[in-house]
Amino acid sequence: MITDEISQDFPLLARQMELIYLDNAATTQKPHAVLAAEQEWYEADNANPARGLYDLSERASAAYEDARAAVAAFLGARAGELVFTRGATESLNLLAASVARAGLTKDDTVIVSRSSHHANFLPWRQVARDTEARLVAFEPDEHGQLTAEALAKIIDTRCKIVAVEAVSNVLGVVNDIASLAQVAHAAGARLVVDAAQLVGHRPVDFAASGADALVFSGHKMYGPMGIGGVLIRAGWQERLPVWQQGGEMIETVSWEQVTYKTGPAKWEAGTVNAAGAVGLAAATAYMRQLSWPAMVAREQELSDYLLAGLARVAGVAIVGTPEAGRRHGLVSFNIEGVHAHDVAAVLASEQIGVRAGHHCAAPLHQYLRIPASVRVSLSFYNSIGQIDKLLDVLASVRVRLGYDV
Amino acid sequence: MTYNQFYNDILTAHALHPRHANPGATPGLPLNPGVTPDFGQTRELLPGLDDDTRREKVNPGTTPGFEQQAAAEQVLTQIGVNASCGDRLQFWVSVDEDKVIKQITFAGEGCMISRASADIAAEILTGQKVAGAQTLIANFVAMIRGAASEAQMATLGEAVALADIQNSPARVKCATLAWHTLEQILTGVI
Repeated sequence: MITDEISQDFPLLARQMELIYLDNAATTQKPHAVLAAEQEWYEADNANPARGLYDLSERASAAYEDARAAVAAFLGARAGELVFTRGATESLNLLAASVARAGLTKDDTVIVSRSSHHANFLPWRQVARDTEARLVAFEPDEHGQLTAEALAKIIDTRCKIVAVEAVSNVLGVVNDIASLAQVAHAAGARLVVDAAQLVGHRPVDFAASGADALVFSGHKMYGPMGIGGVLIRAGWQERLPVWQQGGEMIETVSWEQVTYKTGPAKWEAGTVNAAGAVGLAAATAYMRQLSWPAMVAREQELSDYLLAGLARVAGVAIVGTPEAGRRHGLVSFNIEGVHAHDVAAVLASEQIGVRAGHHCAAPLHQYLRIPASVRVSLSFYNSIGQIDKLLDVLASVRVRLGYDV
Repeated sequence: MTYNQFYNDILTAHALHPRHANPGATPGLPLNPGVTPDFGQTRELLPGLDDDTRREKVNPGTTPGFEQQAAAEQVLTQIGVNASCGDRLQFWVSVDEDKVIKQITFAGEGCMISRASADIAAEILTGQKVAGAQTLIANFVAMIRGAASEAQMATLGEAVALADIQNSPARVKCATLAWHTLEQILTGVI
């Protein structure tokens, strides 16, 4: 069982006890184990992986590949399916660029969810424009969910890619990837899943998910910034052309001809972020030790408490479904008549950190016809006491800003 | 920093009870009335040539809130946008033949700071000649950057209630949205 003491594992939280950090969908804090692993890498193993023939370099290579195996296993994937990148954004740019080079044409369709983060929407929008492929919006239902039924209505055999998010970073609603994969595959399309808001909150089983590619950011799962990845299913990976080119991703180079490595290495041009990979592997080890049942139970308890509490605050309108069973501990809302930024400013004055704005999902906010929203996103290291404080301050926002209650 | 440093009484009064809000205009209305935004489409906009920030002249007779200003020589309108936070305020400015600003109104969506700043800007710039208004805008922007002299501050009246925003970099764009938009409108006065 996870208790409030867990925050002591996180040096920033232990140092800033007054801080109520509720912006975990933006980035999570890092446990000591992750920081120590990165430091240890630089003190014991730092060399450029896969280059030198001396002991240190071989150790660096082994540490990097061990990290790949650990992170892939954590996500239910094989090491050969995990390409390390800077994070979800780079992963989606990699996929879109590679799919376009593989031969997207004006006869093809790309379907992207309306509730996408810009990191998923913009790369696909760009390649659709470049190749004259048709870009079709996949609308969430009234609960904010992307359903197989809705996808079935807009997909046909011209569709090459369906790009969705596992959990919307605004709506907090969990989408059923397996059912979406069935519909996509029946039409002959590949399913690309942005799992940035899922990893670190719920177990991911890539092998069973049905997704053809799944992207994530390490810094949203207690790992360092600047490391993340894309899982690309074996069988598709081989058919996708390379993206960035440079050192270490080639097999042979001559003036006339180039052949590329196979597997993840073909996507990892240049010097890799080995320290980041090692830190991310340490984050997965930390979570394994906490155990999924404990993390999920704690986040569910906090999330249920938050939703029940928000329902009691006058004037709060939750974006998406208020049903706790359908969502994560990520809740966006507005307070009647008050702009999201003003709500966030009042919370900030009480040391409560939340996100306000369109959360890099402007098309969704336009679709919902709201200019902005306030987002509270939880981690297992938050506490009931912190949520009580949040609810107290929210209840006073209109008065504090001079509104007639 | 606490919220009440800049959410002071003057600011909240202007935000909640604006004197220059345009009652006839719909918040977020596109420049071309009668065309509602089509959220099912994605428009391609050239960098820096967003439709939202296009400046245009309007017919005073058909502009909400300007019926009584039909004698004004010109009414200009423009929308100012803070894309990152969704602030979207439209301003209308009427200028007479002597280049005196007769009326400023605004409508749209924005946080309290952007709306209060819009109302205060309208209050202070109305009655000024265009050149004088441009000086006041420069003084305000200097204040928000923390670079205004005492003499500049003395010209700004109630707008000094926004001075503390200089300590909150994330909110600077809220405070300056109205002033930058009005500055652009005034460059179109002929």
